[in-house]
Amino acid sequence: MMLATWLVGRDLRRAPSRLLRQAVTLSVLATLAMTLSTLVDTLDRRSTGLLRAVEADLVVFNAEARQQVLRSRVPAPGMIGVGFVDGVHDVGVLSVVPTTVGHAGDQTRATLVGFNARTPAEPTRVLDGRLPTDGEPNIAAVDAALHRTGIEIGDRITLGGSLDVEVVGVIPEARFLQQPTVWVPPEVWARTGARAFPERGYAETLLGVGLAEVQVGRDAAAVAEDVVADLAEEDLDVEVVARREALAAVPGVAAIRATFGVLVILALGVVAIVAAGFALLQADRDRTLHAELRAIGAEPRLLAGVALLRLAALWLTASAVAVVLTGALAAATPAGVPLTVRAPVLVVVITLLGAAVFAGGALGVLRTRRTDPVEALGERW
Amino acid sequence: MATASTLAVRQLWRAPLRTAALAVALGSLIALVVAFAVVGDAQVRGLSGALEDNDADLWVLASGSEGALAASRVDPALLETVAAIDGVARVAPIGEVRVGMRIDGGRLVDASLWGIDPDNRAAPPTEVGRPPAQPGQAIADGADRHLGLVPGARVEVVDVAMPLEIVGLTEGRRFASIPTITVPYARWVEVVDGLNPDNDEVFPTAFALSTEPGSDPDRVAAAITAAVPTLLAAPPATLAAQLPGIDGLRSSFGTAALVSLVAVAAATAAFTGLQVEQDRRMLATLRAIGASSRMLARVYQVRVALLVLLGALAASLLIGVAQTLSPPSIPIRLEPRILVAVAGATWAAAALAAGRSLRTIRDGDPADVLRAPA
Repeated sequence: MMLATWLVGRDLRRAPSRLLRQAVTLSVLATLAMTLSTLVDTLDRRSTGLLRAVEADLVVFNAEARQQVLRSRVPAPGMIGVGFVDGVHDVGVLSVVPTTVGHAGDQTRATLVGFNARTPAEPTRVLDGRLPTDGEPNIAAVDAALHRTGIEIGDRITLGGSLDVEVVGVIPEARFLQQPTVWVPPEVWARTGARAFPERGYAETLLGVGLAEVQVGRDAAAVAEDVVADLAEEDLDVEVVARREALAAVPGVAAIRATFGVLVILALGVVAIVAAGFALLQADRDRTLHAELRAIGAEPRLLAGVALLRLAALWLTASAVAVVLTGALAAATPAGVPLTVRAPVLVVVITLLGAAVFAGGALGVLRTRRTDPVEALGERW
Repeated sequence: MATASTLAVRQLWRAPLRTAALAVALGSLIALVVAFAVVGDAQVRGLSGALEDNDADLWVLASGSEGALAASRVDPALLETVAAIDGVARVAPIGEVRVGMRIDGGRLVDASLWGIDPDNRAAPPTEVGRPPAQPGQAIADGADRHLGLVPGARVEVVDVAMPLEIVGLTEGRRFASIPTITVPYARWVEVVDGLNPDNDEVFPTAFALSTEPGSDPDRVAAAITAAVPTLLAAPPATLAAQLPGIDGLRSSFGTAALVSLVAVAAATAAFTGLQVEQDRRMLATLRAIGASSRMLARVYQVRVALLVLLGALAASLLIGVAQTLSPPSIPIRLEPRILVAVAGATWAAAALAAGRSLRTIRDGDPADVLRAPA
């Protein structure tokens, strides 16, 4: 291994540009894979950020809402009932309504979120300031997406074109259906919702979704069944699902996963195959050289080590270049393009690429080992 | 040229496995670009087709909704005010609401229920069957035929005892990527009223209007906003582009197609460059025994063109298979215009890379190449 490393090092020193030249293709493929994976990841997160911002185990919808947060309206007594079900540790309410945010003469589309403070419906992280508490009049917290448009703590914003509120906090980006979110006490949500959707009437007694935290050691699925059964006794038909299921039910998410997601998985497959083919070609490129070296007594194991180490250097260089390129692309594209780079996504792509490169390389090495030196040296065009 | 073609074909034929592998790799990448472009377009149309292809001159929404149809409620009392504005020929209300429904007693699915009178210009044209003539009749978008949404189907809206009968189909008028059904406006009001039993009045989502012949729709739109500041008038196609999520989806598929195209071109160029580099010693030998560098270059350029052609054929085959096997939610189809454009860009990149690599062979001394370590 030492000798193989030394040989690869000598080769790199002798012609450093060769590695870079070879890395270009792999870098482009890796950038493609990283960009596509980041796009689908960001699209998904911008649709579901609202439910990702909270840390509940179960989400309670009224049965007719069919797991749609926007449509769900659970009667207030039902939500109180959830809190008394055996196994439920805490329960809160989260209600949403499409609205607009007016600030400094600009109007932005947003989702207004009414939530109970100090319950599972509260965002788990606050970047700056504080969260509104129940009953506080005319205050709000905005998510980082709105904060980036210039809204600061202490500013006054207009909700739905009519209600002025003061911003008291900023939470991490928590978009819903690609829109930024404004978090307010339930009363503010009810007032704004009643103005925006007159057919629904004043909404304080009809809440959005319930978010429940299950006691430690209890099975969430069993508790969900208990909640449904308990509320059915009070003639309330509810659907209780795990948060992951609720994320998948957000409008558009299934469509994004079924179309864009599937295409991206296909693309990753194609990238993996092409990267493996490229690595095979690279190993194949040195077939004659290796045949010559084997003819003069070099050990096949050493030659295989050299080939695989060279591919490892290639893979690492290409991955580093791709991370830089993807980051630059994300920084250069307008905020509207859903391209927010996250480390776990990049790590997955780098791992996949590494697996493909080493699989192709291993095939190439096997092919080289099986080649008769005489045959390789006398290869016809 | 004939000699170059013969040599190129023989080169490819001599290594059939490598040729097939390269053609399939190229074809997969080309097919990927085409799929992103085609599916992206179909997705955007599935989300906004009801507006994008609408025949009304202008739609009027609540200005506070910022173009989000779901957030728009227009006071019906303003219908007369809008009708009286100079240049407005006809104005009628439009409604949209998300409902749960069962088709022929099947499983519950989400749907977008529209209320538009059949004589309204905003009404979707009936391509199959007939437009709804009775309150209980409806037309549906043909994209959801696979769900059983065909003429004769019976649709039940959850929580409302008003069954609907599908009597016709329209095309390309889907909304929010869910089954889209249109009923006469009066029936839509009844459905919304049934869904919200405590409400006092049902507000339309928007107004659709036709302008008088010769009048400028932009001026009419400006006049409406000036007369009623709480209203926003715009052509439906403009509103379609502003719907929530459209921008993100369009830019995602656009970016994906563009990055894939760059990757296809770069990967093909690199593969070609690598191939020439691999054949460097052999090319130098041929030059040393008198082969003309122009002839060698031609052989490689013909070989590149043939490989791209094979790649395009493989892409057509792959797309054809995907078209047959993919579910209706992934509307992949062969779009020859896009395929030709992508194959053209791929060929240009590969030809440039081959030309560049071959120049170094042409300009170099064969003896140097043959003396240099491998």
